[in-house]
Amino acid sequence: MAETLLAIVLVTSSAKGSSLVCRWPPCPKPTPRLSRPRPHQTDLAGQYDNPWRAAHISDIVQGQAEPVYKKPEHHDDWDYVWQRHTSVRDRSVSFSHSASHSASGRASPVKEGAWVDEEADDSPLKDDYDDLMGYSADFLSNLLSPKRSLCHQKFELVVDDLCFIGHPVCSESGGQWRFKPEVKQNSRGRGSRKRQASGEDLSLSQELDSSNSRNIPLPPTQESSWLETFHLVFIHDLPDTSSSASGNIEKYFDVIYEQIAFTFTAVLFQEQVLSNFVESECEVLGTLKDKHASTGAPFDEYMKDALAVSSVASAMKTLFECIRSRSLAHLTIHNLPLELQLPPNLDSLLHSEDDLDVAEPAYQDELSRERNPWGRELSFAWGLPSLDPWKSLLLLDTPEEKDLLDVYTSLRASSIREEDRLLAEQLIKFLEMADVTLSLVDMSSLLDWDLETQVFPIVRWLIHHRRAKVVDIVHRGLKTVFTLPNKFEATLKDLSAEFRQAFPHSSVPSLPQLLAMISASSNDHFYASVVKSKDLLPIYHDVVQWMLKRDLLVTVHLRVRIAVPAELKQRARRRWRARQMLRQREARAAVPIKGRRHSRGAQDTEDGSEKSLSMLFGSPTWVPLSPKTAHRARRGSGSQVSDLVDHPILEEALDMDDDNETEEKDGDETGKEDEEIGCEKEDQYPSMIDDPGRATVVEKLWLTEMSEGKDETVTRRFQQISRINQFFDGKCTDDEILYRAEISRKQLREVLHHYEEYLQTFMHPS
Amino acid sequence: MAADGDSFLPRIQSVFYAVFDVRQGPKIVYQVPEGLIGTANTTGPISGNTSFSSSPVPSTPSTAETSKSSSRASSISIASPYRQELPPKLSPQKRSLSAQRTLFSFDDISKYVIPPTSLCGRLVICATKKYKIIGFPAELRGRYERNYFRFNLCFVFDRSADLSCYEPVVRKVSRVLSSCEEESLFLSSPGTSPKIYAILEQLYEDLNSYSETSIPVDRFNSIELKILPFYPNPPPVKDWEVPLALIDLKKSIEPNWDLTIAKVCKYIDGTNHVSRICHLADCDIELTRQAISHLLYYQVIMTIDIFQYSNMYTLRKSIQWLADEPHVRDECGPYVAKPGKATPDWPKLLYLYSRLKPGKSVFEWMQDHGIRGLGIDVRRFTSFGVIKVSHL
Repeated sequence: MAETLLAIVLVTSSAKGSSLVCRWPPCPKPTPRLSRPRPHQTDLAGQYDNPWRAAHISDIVQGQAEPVYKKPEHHDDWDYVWQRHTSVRDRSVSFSHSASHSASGRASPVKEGAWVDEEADDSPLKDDYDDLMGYSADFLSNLLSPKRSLCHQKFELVVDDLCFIGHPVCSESGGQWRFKPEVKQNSRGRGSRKRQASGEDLSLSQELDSSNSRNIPLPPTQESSWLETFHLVFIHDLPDTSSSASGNIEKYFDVIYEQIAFTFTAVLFQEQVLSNFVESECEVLGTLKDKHASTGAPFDEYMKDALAVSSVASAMKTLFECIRSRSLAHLTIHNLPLELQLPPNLDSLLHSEDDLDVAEPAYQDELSRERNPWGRELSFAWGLPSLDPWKSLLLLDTPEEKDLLDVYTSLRASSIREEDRLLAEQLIKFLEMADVTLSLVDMSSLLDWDLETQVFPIVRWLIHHRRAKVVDIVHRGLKTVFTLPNKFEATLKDLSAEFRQAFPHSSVPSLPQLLAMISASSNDHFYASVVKSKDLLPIYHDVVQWMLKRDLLVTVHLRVRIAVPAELKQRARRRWRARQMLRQREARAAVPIKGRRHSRGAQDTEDGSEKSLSMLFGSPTWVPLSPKTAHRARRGSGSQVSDLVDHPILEEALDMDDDNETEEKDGDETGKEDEEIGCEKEDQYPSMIDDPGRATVVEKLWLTEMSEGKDETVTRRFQQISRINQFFDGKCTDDEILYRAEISRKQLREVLHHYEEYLQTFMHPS
Repeated sequence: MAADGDSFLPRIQSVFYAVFDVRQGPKIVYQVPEGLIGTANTTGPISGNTSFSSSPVPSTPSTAETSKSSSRASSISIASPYRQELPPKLSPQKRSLSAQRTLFSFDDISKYVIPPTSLCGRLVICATKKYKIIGFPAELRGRYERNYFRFNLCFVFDRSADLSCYEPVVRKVSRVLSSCEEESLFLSSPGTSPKIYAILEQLYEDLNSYSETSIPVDRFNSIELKILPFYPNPPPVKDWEVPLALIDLKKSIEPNWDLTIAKVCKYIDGTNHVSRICHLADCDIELTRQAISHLLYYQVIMTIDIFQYSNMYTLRKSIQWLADEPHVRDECGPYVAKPGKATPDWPKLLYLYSRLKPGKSVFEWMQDHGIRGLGIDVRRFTSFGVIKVSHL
């Protein structure tokens, strides 16, 4: 996840000064920088800033043996050409350490302004106890203990190639620790953040609201004897800014801050307020450190003992290791379970090669930000497919018993209420049912659960804990089309070995062969290109699941668009004209209005009437009128009766309520053909219907024309009953169409077949 | 994604110059615009202890702290000997509700602006709630009262600003001022130091308005700055990649261009690959790669695969919205039609795109759909698709 993380340190401060209480790893090493700006070098390169010198640089070099420009005396420690101090191990002076926490006193208290002890800065670093990234521990702890006014907000400090991120917190001026209701607003809208499932880690807002989970009366306060501020700092190696697009590094650190630094600090803060936890931990660690330092024991030994006695120290270690190994960190701080993790794709922000892949979902995100069912936490850098009812759930490889057991224990841990147990049982049922051939909506109906409020939260919980994956539904007969991803997570060699082990059966080809078959399948479904025999279906179901778990398969989806040939356009126009003529004749004969034959959905009606009205009153390009304007327009244009609605085609187009609309029809539309159904010239060229769901008048005319002479049931399905043509916009996947139009795959196929000449199909991954 | 930060350089909110004062500790000597940064520390000899006792409710300290200091700030500005008595300008971002006139209090960040020796000579960026302060603290040893002189010229930006493009600027300003100080005690002597105010003013005005500036400091030194937009590094160029111009390169060649780039540009036509260009242009292969890489950096070319009839192409997800884009529709026909042939209509072209599938080579695809008869230049047909996908 966060490849840049170098160390986690805990810094405290008291009235007497600050100290670096704990850190992990013991001796962090920053990555050596092979190139960085070094303006002042011993040659004269640095003098190019001076135009005169730059112009006469050769003169200078030739003119004198020694450069005119004299470097400052302390040239060796010239500011910029510093080297990381290699710590001079000097055990003998180790007892002279300043005590780790002020309880044990300090000979000369360090003032806030660090200049007082500047001489100490220059002295070589004494040993591991004092050295961190080439800085002295005292210096760093002072640097990382910001003023109170900078506490309770995001802390960010960049020094050359190191970036320090954290959320310092402080006690109130009287030395009391207490929750502050204001923090809720301060924490950048995090107050609205709600974790979806029980047993999850705490966000500060929740803690602030609900110390009641521990039944402690509000507001709890804690008098600390010396602790004034503490600050859990995450030290990062600043990534190369030129390796990623502008602003990405900012986003990257933001995520680490929000997901890790803030949450961890929140828990520590809560424990400090409730039980003075941080202070006592620091006491313990400080005493231990002093003891070890004074006996000259190696730093590693101190760290070992520290891990044993302090839950903060061990939590920092676990967290560090989990972050580096990209896994979910299960921490226990003061007996509080806490789960922390970073989005799996976070690091791709730092590498611009992946930008194309990252940019695509980003584009979509903007469209669907309004209703992102993943919620705030899972939406960024998780690289998740959209959470839709027609998607399916694939449980990952935790042994099932253990998984279920986990659920049991975690539920039992939080409380043992009857309803929880019921929930747990249902959860187990859910997990047992989850299968890639079953969509989420199917599961919700089988379990009789509500999709939005019951199924989705569980899915989110499972995804968040990396126990499941959302995948596209797989056909029971494996008639799903797959293609291969751009790259694999592991090497093909390892994967093949693993694959052979999992599927030793001789009827299953080796993984490379299998991949080649899929790759060359030219959008044939998996059954046709690979399985080929019904007997092998069960084993290939396992193969597909195995591959899906490792991201070796990408489901390809069908999308449909409607193309309108020129010939059809002309035909539609001719037919329209004929009807116009007929209608005029009928109008002259004042034939009474007939009622509508069909009625449509209420939602469409309004839309449709607005369109048709603007059409009628000659708006050059139809602009939806507000009901009011539409009404006015109608009034203004007289009330000559027209029987436009008489014709099925225009009925389709007009969609008006007969009673109040038809009486006020304007009859002079004949001369406005161009405005109504477009210019005749356009008919010479074929075109596409971009959004059949919101087809214009003339597009509706074409759609109707397409159905001419087709089987009636299919026709009706195509344009009226299920109105699936509205999904033929090239964006809806086949799965989505089936779900939304509530039709079967067979029915869809029928429509596709009957309207083949007008439809274009697209096969590509989502 | 490239469009995010390119054309949009962050605005400087404030520029200030701070030194380590022998008696007062870190202090802001000049700032432009005036009075934006609360300088509470001029009241006491050492600032460190004052704020600790006075800090109110810690959760909302910045407001209280800064409003308090702002009330003092006005009196301070008059007391300061060099300060021109301008009415303190209000920050455009100021919150209207509170009486907050300052961006932040200098006291909060003073230890990062004028840090101890170990941070001097390093680029330091620190942040307050809403602002970021970038500086390059410098320490000069010499015959000073304390044997050293520390100063820092800092720029203040919004917290969300991307400062990559300002880093070299900050380094350079600090470098030039250091030189001036070393040569003529420009910063520390009372005679010349008031000139810094004018330098700050010019930095603030010029960099914000023109993104470049040229400030003569003394007879020998001047600050020449230009802020260049920040682009990420392009991926390494491979010899078999085909560069494709996104702008008319030949028109933009100027006589003072790099010779290799000028030579290479002639052969960038969307069909020649890098090593072929190297042969045609008679250039060194490494120089050719560098030239291509340079053009890639400025995003005026892109690279595609060599076109072959055995290539396979397939649709990507972006076809969903690309197919609706008017510019794609309108450009496609004219781009892919062979000269003198009729322009194929968009539904036909889209249909042909949709028939490109994995497992089917371009040659097979051409056979299946009778491409020869359609007057379509297949190479241009595929490269059009590839360009549009990459340049959404």
